[in-house]
Amino acid sequence: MKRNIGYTIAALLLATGLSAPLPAQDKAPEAMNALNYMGTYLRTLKDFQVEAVVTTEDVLTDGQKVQFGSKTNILAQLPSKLRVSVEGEQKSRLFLYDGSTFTLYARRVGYYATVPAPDTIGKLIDVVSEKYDIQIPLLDLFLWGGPKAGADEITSADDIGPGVVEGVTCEHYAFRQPGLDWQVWIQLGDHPLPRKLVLTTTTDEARPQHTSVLTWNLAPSYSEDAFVFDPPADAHKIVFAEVKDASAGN
Amino acid sequence: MKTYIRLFTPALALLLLTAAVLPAMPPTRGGGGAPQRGGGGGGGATRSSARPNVNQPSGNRGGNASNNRASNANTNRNNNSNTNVNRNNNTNVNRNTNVNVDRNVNVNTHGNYYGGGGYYGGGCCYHSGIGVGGAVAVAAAATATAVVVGSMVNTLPPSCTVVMANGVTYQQCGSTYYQPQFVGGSTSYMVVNSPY
Repeated sequence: MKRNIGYTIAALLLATGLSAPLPAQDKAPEAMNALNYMGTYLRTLKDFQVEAVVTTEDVLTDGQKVQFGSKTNILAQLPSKLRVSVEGEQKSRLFLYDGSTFTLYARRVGYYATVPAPDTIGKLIDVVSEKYDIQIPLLDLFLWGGPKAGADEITSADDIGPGVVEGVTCEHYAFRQPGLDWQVWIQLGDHPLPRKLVLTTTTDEARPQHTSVLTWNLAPSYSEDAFVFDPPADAHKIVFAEVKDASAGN
Repeated sequence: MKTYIRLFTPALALLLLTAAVLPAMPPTRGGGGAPQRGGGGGGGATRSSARPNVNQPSGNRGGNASNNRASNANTNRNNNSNTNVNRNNNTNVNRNTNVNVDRNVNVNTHGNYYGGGGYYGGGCCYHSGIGVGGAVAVAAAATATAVVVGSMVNTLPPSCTVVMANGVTYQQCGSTYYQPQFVGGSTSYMVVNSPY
């Protein structure tokens, strides 16, 4: 029905000789407002700790999906300190950023690599992605409410209704954007935190899903050492492979 | 008869594995490098992964780094649905979705018979270090591998040693040197010339 209306409008616009219409958009203002409210609130946090229970899916070549579980623990001190520990079925990773260097440590194989880093978490997210194809886990928590939040990408937004995540009362919203359908459960009240995220990749017909259930601690106790990498005696230093230009081939 | 086989196959497999693994397992961290992939990242047989973030497209994936992995570095992903749930018909589907023919280090012969049933999913990694190691040992004995400088692999052949040169870590496996690297957050090994 939405689509029909969109087509009708498009047809009307074309018929009246206006410039080419944008694709049909259907964004519930309350959903967009809730997203903004959450983002604005996230940007007020100075330090926090989040534990995320994550399940993610891979699609095999024949279309079969397989699921993996992991637990991610984030300790952040804005704007420039971050510790992310990922314990997965397949890999164990520690991401450390102390405001000047970034280290990735693969615990089970005992390899780590360290590089100079920019001066904010936001820039770090960009740099490691562009240079090394590394995505900081749950990077959305650092981007919502800021200039890098891709709200412009959203083509559809809906308020699904009330929800409960781990006993916390939330409102459940659903969004669509190119290549991705996603849902967020936002805590009701003065602390509009994302409590659950479900991302459905739509570029593969098998539609693999990535789910995170978040438990927040807004008053974490920690030592500054938490952000500094102290290599274990049996760890070996390696390098990051740099992303080459697409034109370089291969 | 079936019962007989079912009872003894796991034990037999274990014996084979033990025999193969013991001499092949490198001392402590000497190398081998437990093959680690995925976490999201699977072996070479993965055609896509769920996007993990809203605000950052996984733009580079599928780009160069991933291509390297997809084209050169084939990790065995063994999704063994061994449905041995007290039924008379044994459905043992050992599907090696990705067998690296060129480099037999990844050929998995018996490693996937894990726990004598039950689902051992999610591919190659962590605990399968033993299983894969065993399989590698079996395969490597019969195989001469040709390695091309610049190619990438996700797992090392057996019996490697960590060597340091110019402050960088290498794995020396026989006369071949591998440089471990983080490629898109996963560990891979690039075949390099001798650093000496």
